[in-house]
Amino acid sequence: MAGQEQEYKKLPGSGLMRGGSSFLALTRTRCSLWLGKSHLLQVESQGGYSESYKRFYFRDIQALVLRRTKTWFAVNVVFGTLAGLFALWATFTSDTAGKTALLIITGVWVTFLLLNGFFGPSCSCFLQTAVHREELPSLRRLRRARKVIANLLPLIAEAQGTVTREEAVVQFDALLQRLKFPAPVTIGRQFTTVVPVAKSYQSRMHQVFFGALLVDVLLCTLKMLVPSVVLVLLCLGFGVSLIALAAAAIVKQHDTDLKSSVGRLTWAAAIYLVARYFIGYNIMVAMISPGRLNGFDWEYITTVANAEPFQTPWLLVILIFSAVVSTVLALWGLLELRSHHRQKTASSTMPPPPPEVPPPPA
Amino acid sequence: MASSAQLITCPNCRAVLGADYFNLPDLQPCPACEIPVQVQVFPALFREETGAQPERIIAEGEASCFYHPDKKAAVVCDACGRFLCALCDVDFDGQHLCPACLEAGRQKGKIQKLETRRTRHDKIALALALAPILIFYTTLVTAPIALFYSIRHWNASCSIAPHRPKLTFSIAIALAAMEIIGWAIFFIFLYTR
Repeated sequence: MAGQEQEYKKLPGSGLMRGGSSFLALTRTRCSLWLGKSHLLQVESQGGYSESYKRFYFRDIQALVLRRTKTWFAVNVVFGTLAGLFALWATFTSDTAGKTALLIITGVWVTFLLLNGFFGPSCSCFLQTAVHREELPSLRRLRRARKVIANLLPLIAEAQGTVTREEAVVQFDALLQRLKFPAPVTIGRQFTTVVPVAKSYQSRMHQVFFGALLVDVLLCTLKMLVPSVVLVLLCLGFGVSLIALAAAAIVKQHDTDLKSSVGRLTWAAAIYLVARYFIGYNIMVAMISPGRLNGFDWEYITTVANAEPFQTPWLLVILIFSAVVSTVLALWGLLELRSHHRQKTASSTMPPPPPEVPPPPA
Repeated sequence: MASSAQLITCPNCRAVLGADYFNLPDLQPCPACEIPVQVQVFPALFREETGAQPERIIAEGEASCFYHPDKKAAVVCDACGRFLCALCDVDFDGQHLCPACLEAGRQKGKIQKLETRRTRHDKIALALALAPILIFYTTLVTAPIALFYSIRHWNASCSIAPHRPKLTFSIAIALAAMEIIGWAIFFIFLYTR
């Protein structure tokens, strides 16, 4: 039983394992795949200082399943938004050094965007054996996953043979019979046997978000009555927090059974908040100090703070418009959310107990 | 024994994917959640697994299993030479082993394919030599520790996957040595001043 070192060849890619308690990339588990003679080796490196190993023998691999994910799209949206925001900021900055710095940062985001596009669509890859299904975190790009699977196919074929599509159909029917699984139901040209249930929405994020919109109404009202630099700064900061809350709510509602109207309202509120924060503010400043529109600096904050809303029609219009829209979105969202919770409670209520049957006569 | 775990399900919504989805060249939308999926199946999916059935001894004098005296011996353990029935035989990596030898091999680290964990001593040594440079005065303590650690674990097997532990240890030793020499020069400078 000599412990010979195996000859392994590294397969492309590495990835962080999902789950776990630490969100810090430095301490999370990083996985890589290595190809051995008779098996696939997954090396899980914890912090770089210890490694765990999982072996998947070629003769035991039943299936490899690829699923496209939205990570690629989400990363494109994030980097694209950041690049757009910084480019917009640079456009409204007159200071050369500031403009250069902002353009450099914009360039960084654009580089990440291009790199993400270059690496291609994202996916999850799962390896199934008789006893479990394991995600392969190092295969998170579709192109890379397909390349690795193409490398594995001849090795798996050597260990257990191959199966054509026609053979798979015949053997699948036999498998269903062996498992005594219900016969698949044909829907159009597709087969499905399980009606999946979307994840139950458990979060309070939407309540917090729509509640924060009501606070925003209060701040808009205060801005109309109280000219204050502190209030303007508070509104700017609160505006950013609202955008962050909207993003969090959108993430929380994804793939859940939350009512679609609540989801749509959340999206509408997010778009309105982003537009208001950048466009609304610049309109205010342009109307108050025409010809001096050049960015978010202390001078404009004090200009907005010192402007009297009731003597500045445009400012008043914007503040009233913001208050009205925030009120409508907040109340509508809270009402729809309440309706969703009521529906859920009604559908999960236990059925009434069966009526008592009198005993048969003796 | 077959189980429903053998069925292929969509990773997103867990809908069972029928044979229509097997071994297609491109992604296809899941029938339930419409997320694009691609499935590659192999003969192991359809294989019916049956457990080992040891035979009872029929004739007097027949060799019996060491662990089950009433069962007929089928193979000999490649490690200890004990007779084993079909139930006790563990066919592992082309060898026939008894459960005791398998466990002993795992515990003593003699069967590499049973190893599930290793410590990366080379990376620890490098971290001990490199990371404290950020707060340089800590290197007074960590440099000798890094040097000792590198020498102590010089011959240790650090990873199953191919790697170069000796190179990493050499870098750690070189860094630790430079740090120690630097401190020595500093103290000599202080003393002579």
